[in-house]
Amino acid sequence: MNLFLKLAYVFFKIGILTVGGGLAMIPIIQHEMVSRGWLDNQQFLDILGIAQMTPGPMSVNTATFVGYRVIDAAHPGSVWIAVAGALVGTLAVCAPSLICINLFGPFWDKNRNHPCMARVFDILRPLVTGLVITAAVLLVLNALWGDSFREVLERMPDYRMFGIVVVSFVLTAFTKFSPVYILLGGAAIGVLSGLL
Amino acid sequence: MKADHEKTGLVQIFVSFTKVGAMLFGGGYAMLPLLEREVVDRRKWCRFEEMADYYAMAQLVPGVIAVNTSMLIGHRLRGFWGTAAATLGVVAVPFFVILAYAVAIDRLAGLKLLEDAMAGLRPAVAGMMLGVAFTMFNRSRKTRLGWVVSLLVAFLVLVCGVSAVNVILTGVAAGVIWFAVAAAKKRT
Repeated sequence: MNLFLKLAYVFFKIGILTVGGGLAMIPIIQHEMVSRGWLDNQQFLDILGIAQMTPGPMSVNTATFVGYRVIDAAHPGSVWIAVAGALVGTLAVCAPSLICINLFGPFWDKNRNHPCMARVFDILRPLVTGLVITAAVLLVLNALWGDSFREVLERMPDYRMFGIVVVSFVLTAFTKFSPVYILLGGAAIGVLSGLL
Repeated sequence: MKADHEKTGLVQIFVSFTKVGAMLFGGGYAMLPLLEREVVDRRKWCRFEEMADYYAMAQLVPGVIAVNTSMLIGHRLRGFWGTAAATLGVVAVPFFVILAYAVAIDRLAGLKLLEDAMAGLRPAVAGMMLGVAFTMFNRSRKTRLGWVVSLLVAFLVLVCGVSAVNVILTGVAAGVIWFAVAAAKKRT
C-alpha cells in the first residue's frame, strides 16, 4: 500500500478510537507505532516527552512527528515530501472529529433542549468537573513530586515549584490574568532556577 | 442564535484557535483556562456554562478532546467552515513546532534550557488546572446532585483507578435512565 495512504489509515483509526482523552490512548498508539516498525519503544517515550514539552495534544504531536519520520525514512533527502507526510498524519488524526461533529452537529443543535439531552447534561456537567479535579490533582502531584507518588509522604516539594503552583492557581481562580503570562512566568522561573 | 454570529469571520476563528493551540500544554484538560479567556471573556462567543457543555460533549465524540472542543465551538459559529477554521487553528502552532523538532532532532537532544523551562512550565499548568477545577466545582456544588457526582467521580478515577471512558459512558446511561423513569412516572 502507498505509504501516504497507510499513514492516513493508521492515524484516522487512532482518531476514531480516541474517546474520552488522549492518555487512555497511549498503549494503543504505542502498539500501532511499534508493531509497524515506525518507532521503537525508546523513540515512542521520547516523543511522549516532547509532546509534553511542546504545545498541542499528544496524539496530534505524535501524528505530525511520525508522519515526518516515516516518509523521510522512505524518501531520504527530500524534506518537502516528508513535510507532506507530517501534514497527512496530522489531518488524518483530526478527520474523524471533523466528520462526526459535522454529521451530529445539526442534530445536537436541534435537540439541545430535549429533556433527555438535558438530563444527560445534568449528569455530565458535574461528572466532567470531577474529571477536571482529577486531572488537576494528578498534574500537581506530577509537577511537585514527579512520577513516583510514594514520594509525597517522603519529601517536601521544591519551594519554587510549589510557589508557582500556588501563584498560578490564585491568578487563574480569582483574577482574569492571561494564561500566556502565567506560562511564560513559570518557564522563566524554571530557566532562572536552572542557571542559579 | 445563529444570526448574532453570522458575521464572525473565519479568519478570526482561525486566529483565536491558533492562540489557544499555541499555549496548549499538558493535554486536552489544560485547554479550559485558555478557552475561557479567549472564547468566553475576550470574544464572547459563548458563556462559561456553554463552553463547559461543549467540553463535556467533546468527550463523547471520537477524536482528540482539544480538537473536538474547538470544532464544536467553530461549528456553532460558522457550521462546516467554522469547524475547519477552528481545527486548522488549534493544530497550526503544534504542527510547526513538532516539524521543527523532527527536522532538528539530533541537535536538540538533551538541551538543558528546554528542560529547565519545562520544569517551570509544569507547575504553572498544574496551578492553572487547579484554578479551573476550583471554578467548575464552585458551580457544580450549588446542587446536591452536582457536588455528589463531582466528588464521587474524582474519587472513583483518582483513588479507585476507574477509567474516564467508563465513567462518562455510565454517566450518559444514568442520564438516559433518569429521563426514561421520569417520563414513565409522568405517564402513570
